[in-house]
Formats: sequence, structure tokens, C-alpha cells
Amino acid sequence: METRRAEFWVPYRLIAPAVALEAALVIGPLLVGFWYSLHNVRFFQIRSFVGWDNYVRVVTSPEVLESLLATTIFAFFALILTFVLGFALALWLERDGRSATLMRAVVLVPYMIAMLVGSMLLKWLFSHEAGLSQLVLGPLGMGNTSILANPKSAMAALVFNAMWRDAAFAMIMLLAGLKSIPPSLHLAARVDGADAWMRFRRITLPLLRIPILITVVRLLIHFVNILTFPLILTGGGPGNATEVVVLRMFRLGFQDHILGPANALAILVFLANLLLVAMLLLLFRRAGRL
Amino acid sequence: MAISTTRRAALAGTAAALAVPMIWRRADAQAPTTVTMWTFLDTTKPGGRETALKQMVDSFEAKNPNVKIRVEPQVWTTLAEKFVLGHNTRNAPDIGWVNAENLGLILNTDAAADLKPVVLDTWSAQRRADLAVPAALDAVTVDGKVLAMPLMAITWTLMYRRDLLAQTGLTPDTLKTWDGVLEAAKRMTKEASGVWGLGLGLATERFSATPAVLATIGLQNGIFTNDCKPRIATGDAERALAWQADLITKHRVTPREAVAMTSDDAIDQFAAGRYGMMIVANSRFEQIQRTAAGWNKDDLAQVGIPGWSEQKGGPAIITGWFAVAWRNSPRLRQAAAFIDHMTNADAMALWQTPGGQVPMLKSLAADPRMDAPANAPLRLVANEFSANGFMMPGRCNWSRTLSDFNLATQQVVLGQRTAPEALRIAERATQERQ
Amino acid sequence: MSASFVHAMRRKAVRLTVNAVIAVFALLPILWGFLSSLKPTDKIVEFPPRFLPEHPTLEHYTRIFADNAAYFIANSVAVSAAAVLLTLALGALAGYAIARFRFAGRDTLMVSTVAIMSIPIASLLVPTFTLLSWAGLADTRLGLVLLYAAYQLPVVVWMLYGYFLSLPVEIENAARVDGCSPTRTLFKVVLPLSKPALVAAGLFVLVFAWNDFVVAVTMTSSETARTFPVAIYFYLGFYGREWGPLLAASIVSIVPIVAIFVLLQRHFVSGLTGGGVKG
Repeated sequence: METRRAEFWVPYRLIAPAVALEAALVIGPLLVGFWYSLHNVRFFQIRSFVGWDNYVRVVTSPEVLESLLATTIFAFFALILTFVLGFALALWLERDGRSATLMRAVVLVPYMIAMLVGSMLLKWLFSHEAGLSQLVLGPLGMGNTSILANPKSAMAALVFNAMWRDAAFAMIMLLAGLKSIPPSLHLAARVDGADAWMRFRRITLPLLRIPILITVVRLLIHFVNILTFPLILTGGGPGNATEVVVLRMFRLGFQDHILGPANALAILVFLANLLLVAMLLLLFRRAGRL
Repeated sequence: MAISTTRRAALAGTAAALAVPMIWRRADAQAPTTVTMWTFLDTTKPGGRETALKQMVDSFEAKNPNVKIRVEPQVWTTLAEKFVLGHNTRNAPDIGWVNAENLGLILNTDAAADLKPVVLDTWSAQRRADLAVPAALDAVTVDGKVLAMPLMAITWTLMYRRDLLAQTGLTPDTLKTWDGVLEAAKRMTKEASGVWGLGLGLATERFSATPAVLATIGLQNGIFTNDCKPRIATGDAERALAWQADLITKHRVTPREAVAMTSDDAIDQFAAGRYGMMIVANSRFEQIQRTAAGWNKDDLAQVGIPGWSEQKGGPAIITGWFAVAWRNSPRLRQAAAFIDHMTNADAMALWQTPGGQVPMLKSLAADPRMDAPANAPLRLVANEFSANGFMMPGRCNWSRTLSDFNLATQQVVLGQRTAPEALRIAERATQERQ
Repeated sequence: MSASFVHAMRRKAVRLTVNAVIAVFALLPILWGFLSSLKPTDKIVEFPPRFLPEHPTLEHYTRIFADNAAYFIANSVAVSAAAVLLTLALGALAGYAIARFRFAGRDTLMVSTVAIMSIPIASLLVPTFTLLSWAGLADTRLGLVLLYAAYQLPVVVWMLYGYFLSLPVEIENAARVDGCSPTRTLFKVVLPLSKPALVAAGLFVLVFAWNDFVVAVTMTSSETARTFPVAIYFYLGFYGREWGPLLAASIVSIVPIVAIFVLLQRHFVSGLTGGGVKG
């Protein structure tokens, strides 16, 4: 009886430190942020209670709607391209051997360095005026385009930044999945006459379902909440074309000093994230049954 | 002025629980009294301004053996925000530096102590009369309270390359008007050698003042009403904005990529020899000279902001750094004494040499040493301050209004909006921050 | 020459070409930064740009170390290491509980893990500063360690939970029968078997903690608690952007983390395996 009761508390004791830390430093601030979102906060000081006004203000703001569009475009293309590139890299570098090991390390470098530094270097590289894009793109006959001065190509540059840094993340997650597929399965399929594409479709993809799900969910959360890339690379421009929603929120809070709407937006982004992740989970569950 | 009582009440329990270690920490720092100051200068580094501040600290500590000044260098972009946030949690430094763009944070909160009784009222009438830019003091006075003291004044000037201007056959006097600037820019632009007439940084991140803002202020004598209502969607602003956008779209004297460049990016390009002219804060003069690549650094020159006619020069907007004392500081008396020390005649002389700052006292400006050729850039700024000095009203939040003008320019250049539409958006954005 | 030899050579050539393209894609910006960090100040923004420095100089590297870079690097090392250890310890405890125990609230806990990952950190900065100040933890290294751990814990719990699931439960049962408490079993039996997963999870925390700028610049103010990324940001100063030291410091910040990755790479991939597939 005594041990039974002791046993009952064991998992709670194990999770207690983690829960306490999250409650204090994530949930706590989130609630304070929610409290802010219900107030008129001028210059970091609470002035009056305004109820849901900040939420109304945020969802009716044309800038916020624009930023939602920018976020959607960015997250959509960044997710697909980063995932595909990461998957390709994982397949390409799957086999062991010195060159593959070295190449994995090479691909990981952009992921390991500070995002701030990476985006700053890319901005320099993309700059037509600094002459570097001429150095790089000149041979391709694109020396005269200013990538960052055009809304569409600036968005493309932003997506490129995401691919450049995060393909390595997708690669490493999927590589781990690939490694755990028993080679005997491929061998057996080959004996049965299945070609490479067939083996990919019938063996690799189904067995990678969970790693793919995890990779997609983490990339999606990362891209929807992206701040550093647009802040440094494009500054949200030109013409707000790359001002994603979290950059908008950051500016409302830290540059405009209006914390009410900033926090209202934060709460909405958080809820939207949850919704997205839930949808993805459902999607994968359904796909798994087929 | 409202106090953040709501939240304080709500979290009073937490605060009370945590007061104990805080009292302990305060007691810890008793003898001698240590006054903490947040600034963007690092007194352990070489450099004129750093040396000037270091000497002030040393002389103050020599005079007040019981007081130590602890200088804590901060990232300048977040200085003012963190001062107010620190105040909210009763953890601010005794003294904080605030740049003019962020004075709104100080004047609209209850973070700063009134320096009138502790600093200004102790001044002699003569010392007050000696202030070269009294407008700076007026702008930080709210209901008779003086909430900050000006330390360094900085303004924007039109910097240009003497060599390139000489090639156009025009004289520096041409640059007194915006039309003259345009003419010079047209003649300076040489696409083959990659030189543009006028450089601009029009991004909405790390931005600075551009011709559109300065020309608008010049035309309508400011961009705020007395109660901080922005006046941006106006005919005058339209004229200024159109002038700026035309530089890129019509006259092609500014690269299109300017819409994606920060002020820092554009300054780099200027230093790399790509521009004939650019509007830059005078505090960057030295850096541009130091990084000048492919041209003689002595060819860098500057004139005041152009106007719309030769008779009336453009505004010399007074920005720069102010010292603020924390209202709840237990060492307010010592903090005020040090602020007084950083603004007395000796200190102002130090800010000028070795600090390399614009003289803030009339007596300093009149000093014959100011006539030395090395001091010419400072002399020019001092003259601009006295002829065209303009101070943005401190209580109005204009920290991102410069960026609103940049966004408006981007939108017009990209053909997304007409000038009036873009300015309406800019006006609303500025209004929402008040 | 046999046909198969030619075939093999051709394959090798293709492989080399693809690898070269990948390497250029990944490293070109960093290589550019490195080469520029070796140029004297007036040559860095020179137009038209030159790829290779004409007269390479180490002046910017000397400069950053004169600016006390060693101290800030030591701070970053201490904060990152502590954050990694704390996150792994708390993550292992919680991950183990979820993997091996059925208890009320388990599902809620798993869902909250994902939920917490979806909070944009930027939105927490102001409230966090307020709370940290009240707790007397603002402007301390400990405060940063706790924050980094809090932000990375959900991912680590998730990863370790998956890995623990993939381990055979029999060994643990044997240990339990021998009288080991669950915590003891975790530390004596499970964790030694989970080294690869700990390495992989630890590396994710390390990348975050080592590179974080936004959180550190908000939460710290004195030089005592300053980490290297914040020190790097100081070169984007009020009086101008100093590309030389900025790039030199950035390159220096890359070196240790790349070295650690290369050293631990083998574990990294295998550590994700269990968590990746059976999660």
C-alpha cells in the first residue's frame, strides 16, 4: 500500500521541475502578456483597461492583414522548399563515408551560426549596389537586377534565407529517420525488381511518416514565428512586402511602444499556431490510415 | 500623468515577496555610494567621447570621495526602453542616457526625476544664458518639470564630396536649395563609373532622416501640432515626398535599391565612393572619413540642410543625447550632482575637446580655438543650430515617424500608392503611437 | 580501360560536382564574411568588391580581443553549458515520466509541450523582463540560463521521450526489481544508454543558447552578464557600423560551435534516430 502511493507520485515528481520552469518563465509571461493585451499600455506603462479593443484594433488593421498575407506566402514557400531541399540532401548524404560525413558538416554550418550574422551576410551578398550580387549573378546574366528592391524578389530572397539556414535542420531530422530503416527492406525490394522510385514511394516514405511529421511541424512553427530573417535581410520591405506578422508584432511592441496591440497580436499568433499544428496532426493521422 | 498602478496592485504580492532581497542588495552598495549610469559610451575604450566622459567621472570622484560612478555601457538602440522597463520594476539605474528620438518614453512616463530643483535652479543666471541651444531644454520641460538634461547635440547635415562637386562646375552655394541639390545630383551621377548623385537609405529598419522629412519640416515648420497630432498628410509633405521619390523614378540620381537599404548600408556606399551627396547625422562624419575607400577623405565636406529658397535654410533638427535621473533612485542627490557635473562649463569643454562634439555653450562656440580648420565641421553645425535650430516636441512620439516617411517613399517608388495615400498611411501610423 | 571503370569515374565526377555546388551554396556567404574580415577597414566596402583581400590583416581580430572578447566568450560558454545541462536534466526527468508512466494529466502535458513550442518568443520579452526584474534575476547569467532552458525544454522533452520509448524496457524492469528507485534507474541505466539522444538534444539547445541575441540584449545590461552575441552587436554602434570587428567577431563565434558539431556528429545523427522514428 505504502509503495503504491509512493509509485503514484513518481511521475509527478519527475515532471515537477520542468513544469515549474515552464510555468514561471513561459506561461507566466504569456499571462502577463495577455493582461497587457486587455489594456491601453502607453510607453510601457498601463493606462487603462480597454477589454477586447486591442484585439479589434489588430484584426481590423490593414497592416496586420498585409503581414498575415506575407507570413502565409513566406511560410508556404519556405516550408515546401526547405523540406524538399532538406530531404534531397538527406537522401544524397545518407550513405556513410568520409565525403558524406564532411558534406553533412558543411551543410550544417549555416544552421549553426547566429541567424543575425547569417542574414547580415546574405544581405550583403544580395545587394546589387555593393556589387556582390553582380559578382555572383553577373555570370548568370542577372547582374542588373536589384533583388531586394523588388517586392517579389525580396520575398524570394527571404525564402532563400530560410532554405539556406534550415534545410540542414530538415536534412538532419530526416537523415536520422532514413538511418533507422533496415537496409534489408531495400534489398528485398530490389530483389523483387522494384526500381529506385518505387522503393522510395513504398518503403522510404511510409517509414519516414513520423520523422516527416516532426520535421514539418517544427519547420512550420519556426517559419510562422520568423523574426530575424526579415528584420535583418529585408527590414520588412520593400513596401511592407516582407513584413511578416511577428515582425509587425515586434515593431508594435519594441519600436512603436504600444504593447496592448502588440500583445493582442502575439496571443492571436499563438492561437493560430496551435490551430495549424492541430490541423497538421489531423492531416497526418488521416494520411496514415490510407 | 497616469501611473501604472493597475498592474502594480495586481502584482503587489509578488513585489512584496521580492522586496527582501532587493533591500539587501541596496544595503550592500552603501559605503561609498555607487551611482550607476547607463550610457552607450564605454569608458574603458579609446576614443575622444569616451575619454571625455572618463575624465568627468574622475574629476567628479576626486571632488566627491564618497561617491563612485559606475558606467554601464548599453546597446544604444534599447537604452531608453530598458530604462523605463527598469523603472516599472523598480530596478532602473540612477542615471540613464536617452536619445532625442526616444524622449517620448521619458516625458510620457513617470520614470524620470524633476531636475529643475536639484540641477537647474542651482545654476546662475549667467550659466543659463550661456546655453547655445536653450530650445533643447524647453523640449524636455513638462508642466514646469525638467525631466532631462542635454549632453550632446547632433543634427543632420548634407554631406558631399568636394571633388565630385568641383567636376560639376557648381559651387557649394548651389546646395542651399533642394533644386540646387537636384541639379548637382544630376551632374554628379555617372552610371558608367557607378556613381550616384544623392544617396538615400529608405528601409524601415535602422533608418535616419531623409530629404522628404526635412523638406516637410522646412515647409510647414514641424510635423506636429501642439497636442502631438501629426501633420503629415498635407500638401507640403506631398511636395517633399514627390521630390524624394522622383530622385529614383524620374531623375535616376539615386539607386532604386535605396528602398531596401538601411541608413548604415547607404553610409557604407557613400564611404565606398558611390555617392556624391547624402544626408547624414553629423556624428557620422568621422566614420565616413575613416572608411573612405577610393577617394580622398579630405574631400568630405558638409553644409546645412537645404531649404526651398536661398533665403531660408532647412531645419537643423536638434537630436543627440540627454541625461535622465531615475525618479525612485535612493541616490537621487548624488545622481543629480553628477548630471550637473556632466553639464557644467568644464564638462562642456571636454565634450568639445577631446569629445569632438558641437559646442553646447555660447562661450565655447565663441572660443578662438573653434576657428581651427579641424573644428570646421563642428563650427558649421554650431552655426546651423543658432540659425536654423529646430527641436521636435519632446512629448510627441516621433521615434518611427522618419520610418513612416521611408515607407511612404517606398510605396510611391514601387507604384503601390499615390503620394497622398501613402502620406495618409504615414500620418495614421504616427498618430497611433501617441 | 574497362567500361565499368569509366562508369565509376563518371559517377565520381558527378558526385564531386554536386558536392561542390552544395558546398558553395552553404559556405559562400560565410566565406565572403571571413575574407572580408581579413581586409583593412577601408577595403571592406570597396567598390567594385574584390573577393580576395589584397593585404590580409588580422587587425580586426586583435581589436575584438582588445575589446574583451575573451571574457564575453567565456560568459557565453558558461551560460550555454549551464543551459544545456539544465535542459537535459529537466528534460530527461520529464521525458522519462511521459515515456514510462501512465498518469493523469499525461496527455495534457504532451499537448502543452507542443503548445509551448508555438509561442513566439519575441512576444514574451517585455513581460519576461518584468518578471525577471521582480525576481532579482534580470541582468544575471543565471536568468539567461533559466530562460534558455525554459525555451528549449519542450523540444528536448519531446526528443528524449521518443528515444526512451525506443529503448527496451526489460533492463529497466530488472533494475527496478533489484530495488532501484525510478530516478536512480533513469540515471544509472537509461541515461547511459541514451548518450546519442542527449548529445543530439544538447546540440539543439547549444545552437540556440550560443547564438541568442534578442533575449540576452533585453535581459542583461551590465558587462558582467554580457554574452558574446550582444558584444558583437555593439559593433553596430551609434557612431557607425564597424564591419571589420563585426565580421571578425562573427567568424570567431562560429568556430567553437562548428568544432563541437564536427566532434559529436556521429552521435548527433544516431541520437535523433530513436526519437525520430518511434516518437
